[in-house]
Amino acid sequence: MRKMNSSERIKRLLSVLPWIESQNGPFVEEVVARFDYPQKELIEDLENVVFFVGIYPFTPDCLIEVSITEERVWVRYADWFRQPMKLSKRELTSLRAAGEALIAFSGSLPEEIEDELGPLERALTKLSIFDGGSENPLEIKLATPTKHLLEIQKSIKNETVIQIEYLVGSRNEISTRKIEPKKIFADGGKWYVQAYCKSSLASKTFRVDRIKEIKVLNEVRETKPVDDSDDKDFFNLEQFPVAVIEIPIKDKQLIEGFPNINFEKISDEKIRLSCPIASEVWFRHLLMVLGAEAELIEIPAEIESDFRSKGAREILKIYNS
Amino acid sequence: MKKIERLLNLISALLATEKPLSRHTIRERIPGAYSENDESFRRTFERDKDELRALGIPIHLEQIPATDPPLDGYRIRQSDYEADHPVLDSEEIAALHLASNLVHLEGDDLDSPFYKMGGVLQGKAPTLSEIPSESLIEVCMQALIEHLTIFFNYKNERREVNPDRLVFSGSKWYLVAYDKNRQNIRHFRLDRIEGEIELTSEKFEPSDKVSEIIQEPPWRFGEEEKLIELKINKSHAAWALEVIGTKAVYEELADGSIILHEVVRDWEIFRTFVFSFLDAAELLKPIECRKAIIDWLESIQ
Repeated sequence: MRKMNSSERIKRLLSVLPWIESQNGPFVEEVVARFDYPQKELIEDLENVVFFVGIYPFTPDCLIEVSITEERVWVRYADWFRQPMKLSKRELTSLRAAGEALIAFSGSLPEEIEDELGPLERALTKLSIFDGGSENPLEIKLATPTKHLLEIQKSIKNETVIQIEYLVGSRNEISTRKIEPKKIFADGGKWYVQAYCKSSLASKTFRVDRIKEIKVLNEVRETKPVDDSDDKDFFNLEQFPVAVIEIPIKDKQLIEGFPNINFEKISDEKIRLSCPIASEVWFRHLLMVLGAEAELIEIPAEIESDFRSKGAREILKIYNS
Repeated sequence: MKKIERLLNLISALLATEKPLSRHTIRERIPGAYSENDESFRRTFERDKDELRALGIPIHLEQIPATDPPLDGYRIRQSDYEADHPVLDSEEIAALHLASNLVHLEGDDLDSPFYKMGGVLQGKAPTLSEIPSESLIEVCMQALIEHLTIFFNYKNERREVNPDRLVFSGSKWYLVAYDKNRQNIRHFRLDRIEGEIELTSEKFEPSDKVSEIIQEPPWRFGEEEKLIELKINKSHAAWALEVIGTKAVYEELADGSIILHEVVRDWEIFRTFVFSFLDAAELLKPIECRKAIIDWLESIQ
């Protein structure tokens, strides 16, 4: 573990001292766990720092008394440190916002989280009364819970195999797949499910809002429950070919819906976009949105030269029919 | 004396005192902590003070009673320092800890409030959603918490507003605020605020009116309103309705496709949505928007 700097240690000690004093000789182990204070540093700080802290004139009765046995620890005579610091209004605001965001999802959360919502609501009520009963000025709305979220969570919990009808972004068509959901997460206002896809024999990330139908199958899973929690294969953009496009600066807001695009300002009039092409449909969508003023500077070899005009013509067909 | 020992003794001295202490009294009361050289003492003391204030410790500068000429001194008032939050039981703290782990604001110190509540014994839960931060959030938060009027530029106009709420919705941050010139509540997208937010010292009376931001598609926020009809093929209908949410107004046709009736106040954003269907959607009405789509596509081909 990284060594704490003096600010961090002080901040933590100001909470640790009143807590130890309020307990009757707690176990050192518990202090370490509660405050995430590495044991060696805790002992050292208590014995070699706190032991010398006190108030004028630093006679024995004006010094904090620390005693540590093999397992337990006592702090006495630290009257001025009898209470931890106040929760700042900022901390209170964040805590309430996080709690309220979660409560808003009640009914569509994994069971082990649902179980915590009762105590959470009690805690939020106390904090809200403490805050003068006012509305919290910070509000976090997670992605709208979609109707399939709950079914997928059940599948994760019960380890079932499900069949989904999924709108494939890269082909713009519906496909039927058997998947073994591993975990759900929200990113950029959307819910995703990470799953083992039995149809393509690979781990995939699906957008929950693109799932049309779910059917629970009477099959046994081939894969184990999730082991690695950070496997966002879908978000690994390095594998994709990159197109470089220049657009007028005034059109910058057009790329808002495309979070994977990097851009740099190259002059007072233009920005240059670097676009990882995850699928041709995605790229076609982008080109239609950017319109005729976008200049295609570099296009990967696998993209045909008339890709953009062909895309426009195909859509125009439905308007002309 | 070690730095951490000096800082803890400084906090002790300032917390335990009944009346403010001058800088020089502080040096006398913590023997061995500070240099005898006045200039280097002053510098170290200033740095210490800044460091403690950065930790949120409320060090006040106030006049020392019965000094003539008047002399200023420092103290930490216990009433400003000591925790007075309600007692939460361990279940409640654990639930709050879980919530703040699952949903947290990027850059927030997650642990500090829990240390103040006596720490937690459970491990960290994996994040369900990390809410991206924005450079303007801290100044907005300060204005919200202290009820301060702010100025900023938005859509080429200087705005003077009283902030009401900061809302994160659909991956964007909005500031809900009372616009003093327009005399109405307005929603401002934080990423569209031009330049910095200027914080004034003018306090306002917070309003008790709650203006709800409903989770709505982004094209419904804006100035000029259009009523649009968009035909979407069967293959994409379910997805489109999911995106729009429960408030979608639509009719279903015999072949399973739908005609969506949508209120659009930001045409550019809606056009992006229309193109996400490529040739699986056709904009029917109003005629000028249909024409705009056709013109746009014809200029591309």
